[in-house]
Amino acid sequence: MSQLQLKIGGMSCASCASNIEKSVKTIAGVEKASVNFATESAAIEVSSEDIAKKVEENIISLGYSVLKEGGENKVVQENDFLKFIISFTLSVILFLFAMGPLMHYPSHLANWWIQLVLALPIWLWIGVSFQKSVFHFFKTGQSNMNTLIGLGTSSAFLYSAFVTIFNDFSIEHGLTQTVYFEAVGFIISFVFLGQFFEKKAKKKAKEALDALLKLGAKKATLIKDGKEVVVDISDVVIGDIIRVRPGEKIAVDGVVTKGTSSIDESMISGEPLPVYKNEGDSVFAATINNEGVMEYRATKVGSDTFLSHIVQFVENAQNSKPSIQRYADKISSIFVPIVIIIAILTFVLWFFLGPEPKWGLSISNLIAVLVIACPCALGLATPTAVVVATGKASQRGLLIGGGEVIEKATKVDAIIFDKTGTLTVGKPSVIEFKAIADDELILNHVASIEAFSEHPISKAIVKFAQDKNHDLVEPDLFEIVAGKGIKASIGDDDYVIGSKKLLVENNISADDNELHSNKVGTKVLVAKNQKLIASFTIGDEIKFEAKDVMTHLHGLGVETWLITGDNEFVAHDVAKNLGIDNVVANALPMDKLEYVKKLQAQGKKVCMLGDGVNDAPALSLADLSMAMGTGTDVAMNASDVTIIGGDLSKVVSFLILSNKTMRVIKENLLLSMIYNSLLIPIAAGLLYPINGQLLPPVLASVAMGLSSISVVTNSLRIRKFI
Amino acid sequence: MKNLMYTVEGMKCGGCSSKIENRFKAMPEITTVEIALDAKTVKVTASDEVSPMNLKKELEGLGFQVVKMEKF
Repeated sequence: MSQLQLKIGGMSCASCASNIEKSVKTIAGVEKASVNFATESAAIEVSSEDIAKKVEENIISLGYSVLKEGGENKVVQENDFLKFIISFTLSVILFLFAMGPLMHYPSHLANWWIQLVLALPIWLWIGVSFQKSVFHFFKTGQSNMNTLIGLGTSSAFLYSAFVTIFNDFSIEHGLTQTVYFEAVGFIISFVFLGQFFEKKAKKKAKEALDALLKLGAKKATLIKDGKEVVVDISDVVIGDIIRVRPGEKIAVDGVVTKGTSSIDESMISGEPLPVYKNEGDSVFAATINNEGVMEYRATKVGSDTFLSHIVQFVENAQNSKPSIQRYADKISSIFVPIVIIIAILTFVLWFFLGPEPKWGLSISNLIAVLVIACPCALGLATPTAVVVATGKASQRGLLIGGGEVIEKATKVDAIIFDKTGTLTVGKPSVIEFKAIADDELILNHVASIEAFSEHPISKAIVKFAQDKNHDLVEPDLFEIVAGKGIKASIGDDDYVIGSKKLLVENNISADDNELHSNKVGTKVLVAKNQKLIASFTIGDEIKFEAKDVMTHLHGLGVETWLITGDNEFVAHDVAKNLGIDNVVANALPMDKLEYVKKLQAQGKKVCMLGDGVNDAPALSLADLSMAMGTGTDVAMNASDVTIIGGDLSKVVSFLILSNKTMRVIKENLLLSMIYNSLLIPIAAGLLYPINGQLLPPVLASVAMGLSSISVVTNSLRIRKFI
Repeated sequence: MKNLMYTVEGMKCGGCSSKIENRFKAMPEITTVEIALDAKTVKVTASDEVSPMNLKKELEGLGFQVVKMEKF
């Protein structure tokens, strides 16, 4: 059994991904297949390596390409823009010949020939993906926006080319003497421009994995026969003793055998306070050793480490994430069969009820229906709205990863919040300081002592004092009591600062009613000359806008969840303060993922908000994911939306913007189709019995222009929404 | 004059101690440096303007962990 990871090119929507999946699964030897439209990749489990080639061939036979790994995406995008420029330039020249100053130049038929030559590359080269989707439609019956565009442009081009090349024949058989070359040019150009916009707005989802893999250490310092040997991380085997210095990363999962240190495990728990490790405690790959020199025995290496598990979870989540069918595609898939039925009806009615020449008029009007039904602005409806919305949002500190994100955001009905760094500031700070007497002097001395420590709690106390403009003094003695606190002296005063345990160990009574506090957080007690005199409560401050955000979300009918790696006590305190509906404490990264799955299984569309590496698996699986710009790269890369600066109220702004943008998209789709749809009856020949009028080609161009202008104008309204 | 004694973790051998010695001796405000490998201590005599904090940061910059600082 082995797993294939392929990059697939040419997928234009979610249904492409499901087609490939279905088809690949029919190959004997393929156990599992999961195709991801967003990352343009596929994860396929095969029973033997030989199947790999068959799988590739199968994908290619469906009309997609299998790409070699590497930076090809950028090239594709630049080419796209170049193609648009070529297509648009040709279309403008076409316009000059079709209805501009060169209209009858050099002669009637030669003019058509020139148009044919100009339109050929647009139809066959630039617009090839649309024509392919027509084939695809006739083969599978599945249609999307591209099918509609392909159907219209292909029938327009082929009919026009036929009339031009077999001109005498066409006159003889009564085919309408009309060419639609310029319509082919403009439709393809505009849709292409729309696609280019969308690709530009789309963020590459794959980067999350790269950022995760970069987290790990590259080298490890082994202790072999009493000597230090630096080896590649891949050469570490279970049982190796590894030494880690201050500031270095733990290389693999292991158990401490010698030394003590505090370790930054925010990657696993999301909590910023380091965890104190003694002999026998477990350590995890990619967590950071803060201060001590420590030795540990490797217990899990390679793909078994905790970090590798997170990587696998993120990868699987990305691959199993259901991608939504775009609204424009949904509308198109209904529209396409209707158009085809109308076209066939037109043909049939003309053939049986129409005047002679029956063949010529029936075909001409069938083509006219197909051409007019192809809304050129359809391709602009979603992208222009998305481009305006994402552009405006980025000015407001919201980075949105594309159009799907906006469509998904309108469906969210449950939001999971991470606590630390998301709902809270994410840095410990002094939330309460109480002293029996001499507040300022005590604070000054304590801060002067704490300044010698690198511990985040110490930094919080120093900052607290500095904010009150304290000038710090020099202590005469300073001693770290690992994991518990500090002993120090300034002048004649001896200080013991730290946990209750530290005070008790030093025979100091750690109880004083006057210093009692109801605040939730880490307590730091201060004893001067063997007497408890002050206490600090260190906590993670809740962002001031958080409460309003919850009220707004509940107003929008969204269910709120708090899932945190922190303990029950803190979790419930925060949830109660903010009025969050549901709380889960002590959650590991995989637990967060499980809750996303659970809510999705209940039919909910889940939005996950987080900032840490530990949130990455849940972020990858959630229907919509948002990361705090103040957090880790991994979280940002795994998310659809990044909130620069970490302002929570942006969550509400984003949901409102998405709803309004979605409304504009729906309006746009209507606007893009309405003009053309109104002309369908005329194209079908409704006016013929009344005044002998068939569709004048200029009307198609007018509809095209009007719908494009309407769509763009309507999209620009989004600028006023936030 | 100031007399400071630091207790450091991670000082394993003569190489470590000479690393510290060389760094401190290169600082003009430090007059003497005395290192005891067994006791893990670094004794420094320095002029008054030297801040104990800066010397601690120097030691940490060299990759050692300061667990204790005292004036004597």
